[in-house]
Amino acid sequence: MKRYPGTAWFFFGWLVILTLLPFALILGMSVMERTIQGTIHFTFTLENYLRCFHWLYAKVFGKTVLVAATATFSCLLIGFPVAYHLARSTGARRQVGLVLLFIPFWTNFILRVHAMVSLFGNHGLLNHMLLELGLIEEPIQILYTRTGVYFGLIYNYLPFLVIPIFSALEKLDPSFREAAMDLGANRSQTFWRVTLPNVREGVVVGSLFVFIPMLGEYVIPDLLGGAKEVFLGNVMVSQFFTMQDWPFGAAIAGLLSLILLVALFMQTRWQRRVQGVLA
Amino acid sequence: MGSQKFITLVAAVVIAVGGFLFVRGRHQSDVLRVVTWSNYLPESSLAKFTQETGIRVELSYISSNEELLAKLKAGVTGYDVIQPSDYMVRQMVGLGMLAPLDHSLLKNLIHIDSYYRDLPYDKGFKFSIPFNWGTTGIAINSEKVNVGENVGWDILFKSPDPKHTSFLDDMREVFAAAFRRKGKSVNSTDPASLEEARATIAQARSQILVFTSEPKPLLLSGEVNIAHIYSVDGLAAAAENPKIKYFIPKEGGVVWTDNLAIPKASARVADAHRFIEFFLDPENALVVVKDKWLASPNKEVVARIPDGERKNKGLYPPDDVKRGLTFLEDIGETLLQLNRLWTDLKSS
Repeated sequence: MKRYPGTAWFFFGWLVILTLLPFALILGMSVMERTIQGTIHFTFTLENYLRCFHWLYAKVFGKTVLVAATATFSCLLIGFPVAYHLARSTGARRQVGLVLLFIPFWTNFILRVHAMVSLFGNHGLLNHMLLELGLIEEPIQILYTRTGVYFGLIYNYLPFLVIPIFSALEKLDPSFREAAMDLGANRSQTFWRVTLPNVREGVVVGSLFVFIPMLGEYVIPDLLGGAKEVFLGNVMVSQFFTMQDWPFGAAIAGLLSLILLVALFMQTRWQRRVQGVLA
Repeated sequence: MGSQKFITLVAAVVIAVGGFLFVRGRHQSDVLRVVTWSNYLPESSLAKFTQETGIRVELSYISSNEELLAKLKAGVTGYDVIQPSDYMVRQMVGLGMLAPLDHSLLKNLIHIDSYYRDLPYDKGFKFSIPFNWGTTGIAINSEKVNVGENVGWDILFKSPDPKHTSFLDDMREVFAAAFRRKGKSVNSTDPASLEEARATIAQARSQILVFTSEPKPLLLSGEVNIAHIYSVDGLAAAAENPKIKYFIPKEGGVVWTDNLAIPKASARVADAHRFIEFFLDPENALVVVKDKWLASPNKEVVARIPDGERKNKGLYPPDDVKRGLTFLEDIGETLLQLNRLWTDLKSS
């Protein structure tokens, strides 16, 4: 048996008690029956999973994936250049950049979302400024729209995408780029054929870091989208609270986790195959 | 497994289990644990209670009934007095979570007005005592929107200013409003009424600004001019801005109560009764409703509040309006159907 340091065992125990055990409880709950009073009955059933396949939840699922994917892609478009710039800058400039990236996280998540509410409202700071400057005649409606939801998602998750890409870029030996340039590649060729393939893993990890939690997000759609739309997170929360239907909520959570596990598994296999081809 | 690994594994388990026991252990302490809403029970009243009875009180706060129920269901014990709303009392009674009340310990019950003696969710105060009550209605900013007298629920569903209109983010309340608009019961369960209500809400949803359970700040900031709102928030907004008016629509609406109840798991049932008895006393109950825009079911409190409040029709609706008010009742399996309709209309 491989020797693991004590800290690894500590982490292992922590993981079992605070991650695996609660997850096992959710999975266990998802195959139990719910009584009309909202209690859980210890009878095995797959009914909760079958209910997930109602077209209604399929529709919500599809929409959630679409919105999360769009927001992740937008994060990537904004985040990659930021990470690239940070990785290439040095000294005070890099320090300041990293600090600026993280300053918002000194504030609680809910407070940040509420701050966005007051920023984007019709009587908010942004509209007020644009009106004063005479750039617009009518306030722009961003708050309580899908656009508002996108702003919230991108803003709150961006740093989680920037950091893995930043560290991948930072580790990339500059001599790779220099070699490519020396061998006659232009800037764009160097980027697409040398830099990007070498930081692909950082891009994938960063994208997953933002995409996965976005699938369960419910605070941002409620506060910035005005609760006019439901996403998967809202459906789960409403099953646990409003409906007191924990088994069904647990089944949705279980199914979502299953889909993510399969996706991660396929991604890893695909990556191995690609690496195999390249090697 | 080497001894070092073993020790750290044990340490992890001890920290996790110890943390759990620490949280539980606090419940065993020598205080009466009361769960309440934020800004509800004044410090001065609690100090007076401790002075009179020698019982120390520890407050914890909840932000929704569902949160309270979830905590009790998940096995959080040690609460001695809780403050569920009417529909939550019914659910908790159904789940056998509440301790039956001993009326011989609650002499002050005589002060409760007869209207509140046989409430549909708990007839005869078996498990709960109505503490305060209110309604669900509409608040408008009369400076921005001009509406006449005798306004109905149409002002929400066919709003003259939809871009500044908000609905409560509460499935039962929104359906209740849509039902009442057509003169149906707020507790309707027949498919035709459900479909009609769904279509009404779906149509309004694409035009209104927001679903929110906290419309008061939006109303005050001018983001919203017509709000589906609880009386307690609507009247508070009206008190801050005289242009804002709260009213109960002409078709009638929903009435709700906050109640005092004792969880079955409480180990201090006698002290919990003393707490409830204390707040049934008119002097003490009066302090709770003061400046809160909550109506009291306590006759003696109503007799002592300022004239302006007693005559405020939004706070204490006249008898004919009161007859048009209904509690949200148990609708059984229809609730599942309602939830699917609600999810559907919010996901298209």
